[in-house]
Amino acid sequence: MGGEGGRAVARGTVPCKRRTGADVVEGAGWWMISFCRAAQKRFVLGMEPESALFEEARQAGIDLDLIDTNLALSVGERWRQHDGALRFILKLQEAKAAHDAGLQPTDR
Amino acid sequence: MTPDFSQLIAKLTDSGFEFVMIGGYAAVTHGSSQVTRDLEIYAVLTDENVELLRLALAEWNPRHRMTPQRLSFLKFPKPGERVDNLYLETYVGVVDILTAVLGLGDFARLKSAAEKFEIDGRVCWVISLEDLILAKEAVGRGKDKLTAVELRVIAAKRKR
Repeated sequence: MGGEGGRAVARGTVPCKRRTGADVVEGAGWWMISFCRAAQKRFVLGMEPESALFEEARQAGIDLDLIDTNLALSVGERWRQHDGALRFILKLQEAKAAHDAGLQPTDR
Repeated sequence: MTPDFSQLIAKLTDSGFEFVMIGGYAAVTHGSSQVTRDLEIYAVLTDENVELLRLALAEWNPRHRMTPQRLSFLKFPKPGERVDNLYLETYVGVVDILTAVLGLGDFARLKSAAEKFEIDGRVCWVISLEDLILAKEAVGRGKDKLTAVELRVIAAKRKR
């Protein structure tokens, strides 16, 4: 919203006298956004530290289910799973190197 | 090179070489889902320890991976020569031996807080989860910060 007759109108407020239907809807929209933002802030601040940590991890792209899966394994199993993944990564790298060197056919 | 870190850790523990596992493999041991390519361990590199390490790694052609000539660890450092850190590659994987970890104090303190894990029948000392989080946060690189978040989640889940 902008000024009215040279008078600046603060965001989220609508002068009462010349209020139109559109103004009411727009004003209500701003009020709703402000309300939702405040509620979201209260929700985040009011979170248990653990929940906030899990949320931070989720937002960082960490797969929490994968952590649960790992924690359910013995340490030896975690190592075997890790080393299997590492061997697979190395195989993919070898495949890429062979591909780049023209040793493998491509689909193109 | 065919990585076999289980074999590497078994050989190191059997040799009597005193160390604490740190870094990515320690994170994996604690339950992290990250994939790492090198085994990082913390140790005091006395002459005696360097000799134990040489004997333990001898069959896997250990070489200094940071030197252009890939000098053999079996020949360098020479006896009595001081060494701070060792960055080695072997037939079974890369192993880095560090004598200092940012923000964690000396080896004795780190080991006193370390946790014992059994890995394929061998008992191995692994940096505590709390110290590992501190170390990752102290390094402060993007991937380390991400690992620190993951480790903090693991710590929270372990407390339940």
